[in-house]
Amino acid sequence: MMMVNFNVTKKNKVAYLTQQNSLNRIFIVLFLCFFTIIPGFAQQSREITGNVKDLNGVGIIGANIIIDGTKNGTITDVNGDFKLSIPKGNITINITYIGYLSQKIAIGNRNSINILLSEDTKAISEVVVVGYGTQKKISLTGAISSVKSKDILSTKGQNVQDMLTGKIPGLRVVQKTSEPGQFTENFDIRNFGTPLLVVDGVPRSDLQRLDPNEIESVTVLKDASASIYGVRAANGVVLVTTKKGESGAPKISYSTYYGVQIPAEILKPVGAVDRMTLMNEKSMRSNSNPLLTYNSDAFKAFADGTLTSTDWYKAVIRNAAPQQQHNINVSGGSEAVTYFVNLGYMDQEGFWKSNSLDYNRMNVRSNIEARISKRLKFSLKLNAIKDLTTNPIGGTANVFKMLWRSVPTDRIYANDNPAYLASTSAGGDVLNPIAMSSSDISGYNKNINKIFESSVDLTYEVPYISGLSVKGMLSFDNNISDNTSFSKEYNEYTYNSATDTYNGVAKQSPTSLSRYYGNNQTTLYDVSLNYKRSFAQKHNVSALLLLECSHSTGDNISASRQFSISIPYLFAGNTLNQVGTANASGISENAYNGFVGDFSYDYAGKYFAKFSFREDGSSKFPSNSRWGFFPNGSIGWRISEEPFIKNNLPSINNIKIRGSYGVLGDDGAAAYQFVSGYNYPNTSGASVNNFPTGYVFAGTYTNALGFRVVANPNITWYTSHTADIGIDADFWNNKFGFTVDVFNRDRSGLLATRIVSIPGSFGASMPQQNLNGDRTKGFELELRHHNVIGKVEYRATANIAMTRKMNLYVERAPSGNSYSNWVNNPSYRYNDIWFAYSANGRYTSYNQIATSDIYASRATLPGDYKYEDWNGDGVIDGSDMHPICTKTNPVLTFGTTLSASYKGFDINLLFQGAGKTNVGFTEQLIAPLAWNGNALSQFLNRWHPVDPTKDPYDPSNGWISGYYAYGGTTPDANSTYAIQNGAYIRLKSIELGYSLPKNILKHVGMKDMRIYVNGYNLFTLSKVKDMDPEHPSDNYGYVYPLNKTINLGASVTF
Amino acid sequence: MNNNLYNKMHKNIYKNLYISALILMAFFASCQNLDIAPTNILTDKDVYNAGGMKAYMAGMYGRLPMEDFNVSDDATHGGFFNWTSIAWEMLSTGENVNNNYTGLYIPAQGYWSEGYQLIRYANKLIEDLPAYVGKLDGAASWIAEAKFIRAYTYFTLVKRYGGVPIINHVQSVDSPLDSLRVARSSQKDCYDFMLSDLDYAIANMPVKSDAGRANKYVAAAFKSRVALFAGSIARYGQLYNYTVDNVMLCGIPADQANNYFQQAWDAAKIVEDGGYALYQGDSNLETNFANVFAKADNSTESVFIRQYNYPNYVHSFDCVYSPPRMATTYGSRFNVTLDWVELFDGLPKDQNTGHLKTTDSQGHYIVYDGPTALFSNAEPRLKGSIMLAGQTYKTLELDIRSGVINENIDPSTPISKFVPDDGVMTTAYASVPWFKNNVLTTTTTVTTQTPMVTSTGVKININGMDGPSNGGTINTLTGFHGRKWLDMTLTPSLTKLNASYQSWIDIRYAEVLLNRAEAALELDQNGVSTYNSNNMKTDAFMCINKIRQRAGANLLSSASDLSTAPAYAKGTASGSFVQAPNRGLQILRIERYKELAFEHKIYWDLCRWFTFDTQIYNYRRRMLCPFLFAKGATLDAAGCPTGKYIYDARVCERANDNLTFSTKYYYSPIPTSQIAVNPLLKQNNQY
Repeated sequence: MMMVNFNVTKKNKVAYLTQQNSLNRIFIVLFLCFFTIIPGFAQQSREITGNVKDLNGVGIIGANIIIDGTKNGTITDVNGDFKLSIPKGNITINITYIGYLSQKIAIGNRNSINILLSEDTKAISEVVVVGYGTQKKISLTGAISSVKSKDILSTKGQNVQDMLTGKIPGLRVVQKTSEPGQFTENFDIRNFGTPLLVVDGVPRSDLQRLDPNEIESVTVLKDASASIYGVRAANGVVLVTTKKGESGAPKISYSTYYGVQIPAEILKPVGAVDRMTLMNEKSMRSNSNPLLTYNSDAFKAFADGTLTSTDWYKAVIRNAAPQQQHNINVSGGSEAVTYFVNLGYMDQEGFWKSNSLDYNRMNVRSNIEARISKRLKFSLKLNAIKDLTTNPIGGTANVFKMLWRSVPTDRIYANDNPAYLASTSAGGDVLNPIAMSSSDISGYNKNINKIFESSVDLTYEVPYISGLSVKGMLSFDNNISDNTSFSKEYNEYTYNSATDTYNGVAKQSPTSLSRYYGNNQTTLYDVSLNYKRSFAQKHNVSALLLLECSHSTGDNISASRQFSISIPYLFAGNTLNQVGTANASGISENAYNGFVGDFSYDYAGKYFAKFSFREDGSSKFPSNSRWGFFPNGSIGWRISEEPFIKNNLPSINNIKIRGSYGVLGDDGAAAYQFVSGYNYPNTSGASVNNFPTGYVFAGTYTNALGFRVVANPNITWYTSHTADIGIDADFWNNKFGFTVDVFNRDRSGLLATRIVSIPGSFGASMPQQNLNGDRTKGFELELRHHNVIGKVEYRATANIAMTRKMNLYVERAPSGNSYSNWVNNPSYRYNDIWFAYSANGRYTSYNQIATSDIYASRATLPGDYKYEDWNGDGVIDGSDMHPICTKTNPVLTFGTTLSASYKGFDINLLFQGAGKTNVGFTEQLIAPLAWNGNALSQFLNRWHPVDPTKDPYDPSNGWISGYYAYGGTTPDANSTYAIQNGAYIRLKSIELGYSLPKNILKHVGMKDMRIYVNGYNLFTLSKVKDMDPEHPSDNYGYVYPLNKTINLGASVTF
Repeated sequence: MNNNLYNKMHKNIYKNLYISALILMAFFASCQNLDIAPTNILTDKDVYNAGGMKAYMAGMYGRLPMEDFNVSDDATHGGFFNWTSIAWEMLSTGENVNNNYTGLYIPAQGYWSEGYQLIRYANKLIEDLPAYVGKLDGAASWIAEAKFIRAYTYFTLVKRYGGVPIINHVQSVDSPLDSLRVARSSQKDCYDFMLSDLDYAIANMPVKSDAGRANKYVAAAFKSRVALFAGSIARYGQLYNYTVDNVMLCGIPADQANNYFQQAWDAAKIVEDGGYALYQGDSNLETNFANVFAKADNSTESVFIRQYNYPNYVHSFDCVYSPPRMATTYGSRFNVTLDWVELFDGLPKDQNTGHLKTTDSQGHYIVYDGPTALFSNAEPRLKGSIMLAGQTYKTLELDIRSGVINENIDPSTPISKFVPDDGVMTTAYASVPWFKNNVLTTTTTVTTQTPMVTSTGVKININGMDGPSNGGTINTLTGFHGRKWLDMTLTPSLTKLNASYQSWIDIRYAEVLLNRAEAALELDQNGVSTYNSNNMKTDAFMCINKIRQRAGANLLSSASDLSTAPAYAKGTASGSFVQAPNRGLQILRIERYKELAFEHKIYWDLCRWFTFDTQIYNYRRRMLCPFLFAKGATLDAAGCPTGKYIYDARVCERANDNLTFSTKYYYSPIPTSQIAVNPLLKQNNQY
C-alpha cells in the first residue's frame, strides 16, 4: 500500500507542486496514507476491494474513496484498484475524482465492487470566458453559449467555422463551398451580421485560419452582454480562448488525420449526342422557322464512331482529392512556468485533375505563463500562421463556367494531338477548360497570408486589498498578404485539315506577373483593475474597470510587369507597361479608445445582477459624434435555490431565469463621410475600362480628382438595442437540461442615402445618413441529455433556432401608386420576402394550349410552364407576382449531437440543417445551352416530342413528359418552378473512435492513443434537385462544390 | 522568516508595484489620438493651382459623356463608360449589326444625374475661379474650359431629352428644397445657353492645348455640331414639337433655323483658321483613310480626341470587333451591312436598284474570278473602312465564304438566283432545292468545320476561316468585317479585352467640313445664298469635294449637282438608301453616311434630320454571301482557296429582323425616378 501510494505521489510530483487540483489530491493521499498505515486505530472492520474505471474502461488513478460521514478512505492505485477497510454496518462510500461526476454507493455486504465514473462536463463549477474575464457558468445572466475543444474537434471541417456548425444555438453557419483556401462561409449570430471576433482578449479577424487544435473554448455572446465591446459589438461577439499549459510532466501529443474528399454534387455536362439533341430541340422551337441544327449525318458520325464525344468533366475533374492534417503539441510546466506549444500543418488538395488547386497551412503557437513572484503573474502568447492558397490564374468560377460551356463535339487537343491544346468553338470568352484548370498551362495565383499575433500581460494582485488585481496587456498583431498572380501566355490551336496546319492563337498574351503585398498591423493595449470578493459567504461582488486603446494601420503595394521571357519574377519583366501602384482604400489608419466598467453582484448564488458599460470612441467618425456610451444590464434568479423548490423538488438541479438589455454599436460605416473635398486619386467607380482613375493629356496619364459626395458632418455608428430573456434548467442529477432564449434586436441609424427629396440636377450624390432601421427577433432552444447505462455513457444535445429580420423605416423615393408601394416598399416588413409567380401546372397537350383561359402565345408547346393568373386579369405579367416564400437566408437552423462511449469505443454524430429557406439558381444552373454552349445532364429530363425530327407545332405529335420544358425554355427565375425549398438535414459529421487500453499503452511508453474514422457531410436529405442545398447562387452558381470527406485519424499522447 | 528573506520579499513587492504603476501610467498617458486625417482627401486649397487644376480637369474629362469606344448599353452610366463596346447606335441605322443585337437598338437611356454631376463641378470652377483671375496663371482659360465642358454635357442631355433644367450655379445642399427643384427650359433656351458657353470658350481659350483637352478650335468645331443640330431641329422637327405650359420642351421654332445654320457655318469657318486639315499623309488613298484613325494622335485632322493609356485606361474595341480569328476572345461584332457598302463608288451596281450587281440580265449569277475581283475598283475609302476577302490583315489573309459549290458544277453553269434580293425575303438557303443539292455549307463554327476535298486534293474550308455560316455564334452576319478604328498593329494574341488603347477621335476635321457644307447648303436652299460674302452653294460643293478627293470617290462635277431636284427614292438608284428632302441634301447626307460611319454620328444625324422613322421602316439588313466553285479551285500562297466565285446579295440569313424606328425615339423619356423627385419635370410626348 505504501509502495503504491508512493508511486502515485511520485508520479504526481511535478503536478503536486503547482496545481491546485493535484495539491488537493496529494493532501488527501497523504492524509489517507496516514490512516491506512495505522490500522490499529481502526474500528472493528472488514476489507473490501474495488476498482474504478472511466467509461472507456481505463482505470482511474488516484480517485478518492471515502466512507460517507467520515474522513476515512483511500485512493486508487495505478490500475484503478483500491482496498479499503470499512466498519461493519450499512456503509456508503463516496467516490470522487476531479473532473468526474461523484458517486455514492452503498456497499451492502459486497466484498468487491466495480465503479464506473463518468466525466462531469456540466459541473456546477464550470467556468466560461466572457468579455474581459471569466464567470461561473451558473452565474451567467446573459445569453452566452460556449463549446469546448473536444466538441469542436469532433467535426473535421475545413476550418473552425465549419467545425462549429450546428453546435451552438443561434450561431448560423452556411458553408458555400469546400474550395481549398476559400473561406466564404456565411457566419453570423442570430442573423445579426458579421460578429466581432475576439481571440484571447484581442479583436482579430482570422477565425478560419486558426488551428482548431489550439482552441480551448469558443464562447458566443449573443445578447447585450456583447456591449462590453462597444461600438463594434452590435452583431454579437465570438470569443476564442486558446489553450494553456498545465503544470506537470511534459505531455506530448501528436494527432493526425488523412482524408479523402469527394464532391458533394456532381454536375456533369452532357455528351455530344445529347447536346445535339438539345440544340435541335432549341432550334425546332422557333415557330416561324423550325429547323434542325444538326442533321442525321451528324448523329450518325457519333453513332458509328467516326467522331467521339469529349468528356470535359472527366478531363478536368478527378473523383477524389486527399487532405491531411498533422498536429503536435507539448504542454506542461512547473509551479513557476507553464507552457503550451503547438505546431500544426494541414493540406487540402482540390478536385482539379491538374492538381493545381491546393491549400496548406503551417502554424506555431506558444502560450507561456509565469509567476514572477507570489503576486505578479506574467503571460506571453505568440501565434504565427502562414498559409498558401494556390489556384489556376482564371479562378474556380471560370473553370466551371468554361467546363459547362465547352462543347462535347470539340476536341481537347486539336486533331487529338496532345501537343496542341484546342481552341473551343463555344464562342465568346470560352477558353479551353484544361488550360483554365491547370497552372502549368495558364499560370497561377498564389496567395500567402502570414499572420503574427502576440500579446503579453502582467497581472498584479494588490496586497492588503484582498481580491483586487491590476492587469496590463499589450498586443501586437501583424497580418501580411503576399500574393502573386502569374498569367501565362499559352496557345490554343485550331487544326486546319485543309492545309494540315495548326493555327495557334496565343491566349492571355503577353505573359504577365502581378505582385501584391499588403501589411496590416494592430497594436492594442489595455489596463484594468479587477476586484472579486465574497463577503459573509453570501455576497459575491466583482468589478472591473478597464481602459483599452487600439491603433491599426494598413498599407499595401502592388506591381506588375509583362514578360517576353517567362521567368515568373518581377525582375525579369519588360519595362514597357510596367505598373507600380497601391490600393488607396487599403491604406488606412484608425484607432479606438474605450473605457469599460463591469459590476456584478450575486446573493448566495441565487440572485444575480450585472451592469456593464463601455464608453467608446472611434476615429472613423467626426469629433462631435465620435464617442458613444454603450451600457447593458442583466439580472438572473436561480429559482431552484429557493427553499420551496430545493427542499421539495430534489430532482431539480437548477432553474435560472435571466434577462438582459443593452445598447450596442456598429461602426461598419464608410469612414470619412464627414469630410468634404476630393479623393485623390479618384477611386470611386474607377476602373481601367470606364471612369479611369486619371485621364490622358498629350499621351501622358494624369491622376484625376474624384468628386466626393456631399459631406455628412453628423455621420455615426448604427445603434442596436438588444433584449433577451432566457431560462436555463437542469434536472435529475443533470441528466436532462434545457436552455431557452427569446430575443429582440432593434437597430436604428442604418446608413441610407437621402433620396426622397433631392433632384438629380443637384449634381452631387447625397452622403449616407443614419436613417434606416431594422428589427431582428427570434428564439433558441437547446435540449441536453446525458446518462450512463451500464458501461455505456451517452449524451445528446439538440438545438433549434429561429430568427427573422424585419425592416423598420427604410428611406426610399415615394411609390407612384399604391400597388407599386405594396410591391416595392420594404419598410416595416420582413426583409426576406420573395415575390414570385405561382406555378399553375404545365401545358400538357395542344388542346390545353388551344383552350387555355390565359393568353398563351403561338409559340407555346406542351410542357411549357403555366403561371397562376394571380390577379385574375387574364394575362401573366409582373403584377401576378406576389409574396411566395422567404429568400435564401435560412430562418430556421438546427443541430443535434449524439455521442456515446463504451469501453474504449466512442461515437459522435452531428446532424445539422436548416429550414424555412428557399433557393434559386441562375444562368447555366437553370437553363441548358447558355450561349449555345453545353447543358448540364439534368436538363435531359425534359418534355420532348416522340419524333424529334417532326415539327413540334404539329398537333399530331406525341409527347414525353419531363421536369424541364422543351427546347431549353426556362421558367421565370422568380416563379415556384425555379424556386426550390432549400430545407435540409445532413449528417454533418460522424466519428467513430477507439482508445487503446492504457495498460497496454504504458508498455510502449504512451499515455493515450486513440484512432478514429471520421466522415464529413456524408449524407444529406434535401428537396433541392441535383444540387447541394447550400450551393449558393453567388457568381451565377459557378462555385466549387462542397466536399464529402472520410478521414482516418489518430492521436497519441506521450 | 528571517530578515533577509523578508527584505527580499519586500523588495520584490516594491519592484512589482513600480512595474505595475509604470504600466498603468504608460498606458493612461498614451491613449490613442482619434483625430486621424484621411490619406487621400484633398480640399479646395490643395486644388486651386496648376497641378491641382490638371487633376480637376482630368476628373472632368474622364467623365465627359463622349460617345467613344466605351459606349454600350450599361444603364448605370446612361450608356457611357462601359467596357463591352457592343451596343452602339449604328446597329439601328443600317451601318452595322452584331449577334447580340439583331433588332433595333435604341441607345441606353437615363443619362441624367451623372451629367448634372459634371455640370456641378464645371459650375464650381465657373463660380470660384473669377476670384483667382490675375492671381493664378490660367484661371481665365480654365473658366472657359469649364464652360466648354458644361456645354458638352448639356448637349448630351439636350439631344436626348429636348429641353432640360438649366443649372448654371452650384446649388447648396442647405437651400430650401423648392429652389433645388428646377423645371425644364425650352429646347431653344438650352441651345442658346450652350452656344453662349461655347462662344465664351472660343473667345477665351488658348489656340493650342494638350491632346485630349479642349482649346479655342475644339470649342468652335463643337459649336458647329451643336448649332447644326439646333438648325436641323428647327427645320425638320416641327412635327415633333411638344409644348407644355407655354414652354416648347421639344422642338425649336422653324424661324430660328437659318440663325443656327449661320452659327454653325461661322464656327466651322473658325476651325479652318486653326490649321486643321484633312489628313493626306499617305499617297495610297486606302492606307491614307485607314491612317486617319491609326495616326489620330498626330494628325492635322484630329480636332478633339480622347486618348487611352495601357493599362490605366483602356478599351476593348479590337477584341470585340475584330474577326474572331484575329482576337483572343469575342470578335465579330463588326458586321457591316451590304446596304452601307453599296453607298460607295467603284462597285458594279445595278442601275435600276443601286444594288450590287451580282446577276446578269437573265437573273443568273455573274462569275467573278478570285475573291478580290468584285471589289478591285472599289472606292479607297471603302477599302479603308472594311476588310476585304483576299487581303491580309494582322498577318492573316481574310478568307470569307458562305459555302462551296460542288465540284460537279462547272462555273460556266448558269445558276439562278437563290433568294430574291428584294429586302423582304428571309428564306433560309436550306429551303432552296438547287442550293440544297449542290452547295456545301456548315452549321459548325468556322474553327471546327471539316473541309471538303476536291478531286485534285485541294482541301477547302467551307465557310473560309472568316466567313458567315448559319450556326455557331462567332461568324459575320453580313459577309463583311469592318476595319475602321481597328488597330492593325495588335497581333491576334494581343487582341484581348481591356488591351486596346488607340485614340478615339470625337471631332475630326472631316466632320467640321461636312457640318459646314450642310449648314451652307441649308442656308442656300433657304434664302441665304450668300453669307459673309461667301457663296453658300459653292462653299458646300468645295467642302464635299475635299472630302471626296481625299476618299478617292468620284468628285462632284459642279456646284449645281447640289440641286433641289427630288431625291432618289428608295431602291431606285445608288445611294437611295439614304433619305433626304432633295437631291442636293441627299448627296451631302450620303457623304456623311460614308465618311462618318461607325463614329456614333449617323444615329444622331437621322434623329436631327427626322428621317429615321421613314428610312428605317420595315427595313431588313442585307448581306453578301460569296460561294466558291470547288471545280478549279486552288490554294494561294497563304493557303486560302482561290477560284471562281459567285455572290448572293440578300436579306441577312440570321439577322433578318424587320426594323422600324418609332417616332417616339426622337426624344427619350425623362427618367421617371427624376420626375418622382422633381414634380416640375414634365415627361416627353408619347411616354
